[in-house]
Amino acid sequence: MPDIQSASIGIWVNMGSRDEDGSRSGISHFIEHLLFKGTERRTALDIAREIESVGGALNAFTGRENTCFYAKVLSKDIELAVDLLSDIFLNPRFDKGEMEKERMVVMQEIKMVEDTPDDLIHDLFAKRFWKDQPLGMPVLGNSQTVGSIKRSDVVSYYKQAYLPHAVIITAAGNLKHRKLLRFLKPFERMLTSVQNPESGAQIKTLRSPIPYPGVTLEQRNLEQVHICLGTPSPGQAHNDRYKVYLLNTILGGGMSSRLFQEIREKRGLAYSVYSYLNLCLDAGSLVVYAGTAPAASARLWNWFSGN
Amino acid sequence: MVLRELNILAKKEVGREELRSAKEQLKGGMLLGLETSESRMTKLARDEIYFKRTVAVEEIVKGIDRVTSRDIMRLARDIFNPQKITLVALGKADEKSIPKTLRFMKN
Repeated sequence: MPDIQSASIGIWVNMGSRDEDGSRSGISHFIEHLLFKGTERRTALDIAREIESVGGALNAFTGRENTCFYAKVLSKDIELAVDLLSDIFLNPRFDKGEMEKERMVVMQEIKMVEDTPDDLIHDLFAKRFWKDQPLGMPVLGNSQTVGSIKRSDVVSYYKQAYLPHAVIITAAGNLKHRKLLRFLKPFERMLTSVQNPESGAQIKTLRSPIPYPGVTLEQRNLEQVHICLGTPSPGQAHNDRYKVYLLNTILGGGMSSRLFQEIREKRGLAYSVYSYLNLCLDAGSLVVYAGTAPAASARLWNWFSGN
Repeated sequence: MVLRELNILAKKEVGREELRSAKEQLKGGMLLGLETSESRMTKLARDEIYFKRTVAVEEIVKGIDRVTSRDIMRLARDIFNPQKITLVALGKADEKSIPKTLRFMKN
């Protein structure tokens, strides 16, 4: 992209909450946080200062199937960005004191979601939809699991998951491939340090998830009733994906969609109403969300019963 | 009402104009979304993760354009089966307000 000033680089790990066992729920996300808490040669504050001193951004997110660490900078600063990213990724200190503080931070993140019903409802939906399966567990984990993750769990999970063949590095923007490869030198060490790359590849075995139909009511004293209604959908890599995208767009993607027009514009029953796709590699869901008044929720449903 | 909308999609083909407009919405949104370096970076990674190759934007555009009203209806019929629906409500949720067709599944 030669016409723009920025460059973005991301390190993607082929691991997410889906790969966790129940007692370690949230460990991928916890590790994501911990990588920002200092390396052999940088403190957490150094990391923050260095990236912000060039106006850049360094961030990360954990999903159900992967975790991404990325930086966005002006293209002239890409060397700094790559140096920072590779340092936090390859040389984390996992300092005990920092870990305890960050545990509290993540606990607050979990509480924040619990206090945000239009966020929480999607976690509750996934929990019910993928009942008792890793895909149904929240990416953040819960207070109990995050509270009990030990430093040794973190270190062994990091060593097991952050392996070269589970990592993809991508970059885009105003940059030159060859130059970038030179900056990525630290990763070569990582690649050569693994003697038997095949053994690691086997740690990831996906079990096809099974959706569970049914109804769950979660009583809370709230002004609104938040509703998610969903059905199984073909996954992200499925040949029918374009059909799924279009179906979602027509049903509830945007202000011209059928749901928005019928429920909000014609009847005023909700402020927020939309549908979304939650697709993973081999499965997914198409979900409708609406937040409505308790009295109107009956109207929302009964339309169908009488139909 | 939500269910009613799903049902309509499963029973009646989407009109030509509505389909055309949904296609343009989808393609336009994707192209606009790809204007930043981080979205490009993300697309490269996701392509590699899901397809083990880079998927050209033209290929996606063609894939979207090829979808017919009949395809949408068939898919809707497949996936909007009342037996397969999961419903979760959070708040002062009244059990009686749940449609009879779903009530039997409560557990």
